[in-house]
Amino acid sequence: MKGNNRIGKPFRFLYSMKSGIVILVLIVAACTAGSLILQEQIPAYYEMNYGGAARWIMAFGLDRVFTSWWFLVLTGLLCINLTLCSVVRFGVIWRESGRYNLEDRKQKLARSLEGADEADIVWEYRRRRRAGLWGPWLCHVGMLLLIAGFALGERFGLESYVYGVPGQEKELEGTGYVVRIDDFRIELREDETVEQYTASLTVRETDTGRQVSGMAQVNHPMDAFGMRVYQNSTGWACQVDVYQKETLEESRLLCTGEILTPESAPEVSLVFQKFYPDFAYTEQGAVSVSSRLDNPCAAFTLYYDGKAIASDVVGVGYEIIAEPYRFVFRDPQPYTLIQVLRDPFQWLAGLGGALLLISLFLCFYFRPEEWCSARTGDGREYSWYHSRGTVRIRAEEPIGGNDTIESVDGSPEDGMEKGGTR
Amino acid sequence: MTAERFLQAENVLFTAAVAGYLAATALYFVFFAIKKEGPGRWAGHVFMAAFGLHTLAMLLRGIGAGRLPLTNQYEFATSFAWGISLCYLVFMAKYRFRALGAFVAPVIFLIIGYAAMQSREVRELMPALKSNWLAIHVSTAIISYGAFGVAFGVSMVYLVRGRMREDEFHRREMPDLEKLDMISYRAVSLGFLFLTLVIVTGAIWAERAWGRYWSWDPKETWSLITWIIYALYLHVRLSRGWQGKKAAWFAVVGFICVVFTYIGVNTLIPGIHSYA
Repeated sequence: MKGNNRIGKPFRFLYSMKSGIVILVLIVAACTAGSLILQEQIPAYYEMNYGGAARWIMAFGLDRVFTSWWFLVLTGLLCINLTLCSVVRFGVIWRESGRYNLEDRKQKLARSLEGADEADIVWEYRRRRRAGLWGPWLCHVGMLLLIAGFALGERFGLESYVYGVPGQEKELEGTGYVVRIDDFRIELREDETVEQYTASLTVRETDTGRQVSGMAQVNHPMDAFGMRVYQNSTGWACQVDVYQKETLEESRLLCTGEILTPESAPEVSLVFQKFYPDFAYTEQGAVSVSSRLDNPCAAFTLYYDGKAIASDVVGVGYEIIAEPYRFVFRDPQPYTLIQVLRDPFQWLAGLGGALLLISLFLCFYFRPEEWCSARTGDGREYSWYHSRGTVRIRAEEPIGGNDTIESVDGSPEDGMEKGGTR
Repeated sequence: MTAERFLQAENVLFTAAVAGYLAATALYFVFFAIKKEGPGRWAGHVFMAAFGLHTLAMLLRGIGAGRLPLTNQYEFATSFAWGISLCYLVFMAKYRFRALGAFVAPVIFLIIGYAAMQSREVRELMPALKSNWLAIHVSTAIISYGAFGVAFGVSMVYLVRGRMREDEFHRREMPDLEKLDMISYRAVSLGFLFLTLVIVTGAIWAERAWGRYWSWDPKETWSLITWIIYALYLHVRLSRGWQGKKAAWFAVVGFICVVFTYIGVNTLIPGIHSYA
């Protein structure tokens, strides 16, 4: 017995509401830290912004809270709590929602009926909204499914990005699929704001050669082979020609952020920092005053043997000279960033979300009610009313007034009035 | 009538609504201070008028902008205030509880005042915001935040009433502590259900627009924090009997989280919701 207690106590604690509350409070604290401290930055960022505290931020994983081991442990503990709680509660709710024991209900009024002649008592029993009993249980199950769906999706899902300009074909790493960008359009309004980004794409399965063509727009992803293809973002790309003396050595399409290292000169690197379609130098520094290609310029940094030797803004068509090499930016065009996702467990998270909503409705607006009344031979009526967290026992005189004899009120409920007078 | 005319009319009505809420707040204070029915009755009328003007202003903005006015700081702040007003009127109609206005009207005035400080320029929507899911997401947020605002007001009444000497005014104008606790619980329940809907619809929208239904963006994280705070409220109420004063403080803290989720996150923490 004692041994059972030793095992039983920690077990009970694991599924108790108390431990659930403690875990939730810790999750709130972790989420607060994770939202206030910018996540997944390089160490230098934290050292610059937090000084000496940066060491502690990184030591405790506060720079990547939501993927840290302790956050995963907390989530795991919450899942254990929810699972055990759901398992234990299932039997109780099943019994409660099933057949009722009238004798047990009669006992609720035993004290009030002391002295009354049993043979003269007329019993009445009613209950309604039994489905509401399942509300809190379904709520926990919904939460579990949501967490499980999210975790499984993260573990077994696929996420890949490709970027390029129309005509390019890019391989989706590790998937066996290739994405071809057939077309990319940016629709502008009269005021030059963006109406929509549209990428026409073809996704091909490399093994079988099967292919699916379609359009991906912001808010309207394309479906292909069980994957979703999103028009994620856009930027600028330029064709960059590399000359040695007068000879064209190399020509490559370079997107912003990319580095070009000529094959014949590995010691030289050109980084395409930023693109200005309509360059102007203002008090705020270098800006693009419109999205039209009226004065296209490229910001670049040139490295030699790993050291920056020049950083500037150059007009498209002009030369960047690093003897004996010359670099020329030309033919600017927007590129598209395509995101490809497959989440085989999204349905599970969706089911969890739907269950959560239904269960909360059951919890708050479909509260189960039970009512048992006894009318004695002398016309007195005693009633026992029970709803979630609320128990009331009332005595009603044959003529006029009534009186609450006993009341255990978990959450105040005006259903009491209904129970007492029905 | 051109779109510009609609927006000019909206401007006038909005200003009148702000003035109306301010006047209602002042009248509610007078009502509470001198404990006479007259200012209370007037406060109710003025509040109703302000709400009417506010509703009309939002309608005109919607017509002028050619879309639901729910997509920038100004539009959401004014909708947030409208949501609290609506929930307050619903709860007041149900529970006949006029003194609540003395605590809810200042909150509405502060939020609509915040809206007045934002840019009212009507801008075309960026592609990610052109979604029916966004409209559902923000509409449910208005109801949710509105209900939490009312729960905050009721809880403040609870806390104040607990400290005041009982007199005829209190008995006439304010429900007893038990009923106040119940009204606050009802408001939190409504807000919590709708907050869940906000998070679910937001996740569906995020999946369509950004590919991920949950990405730990600060706004998402803070809506989760708010959700957990209210979930804790409901749990401790049930398991630990935290009703009355403790529950009232919980509802106050919860509403502070709501306000931070809305205003604090947008202005202090960068993320994909920075435009909202």
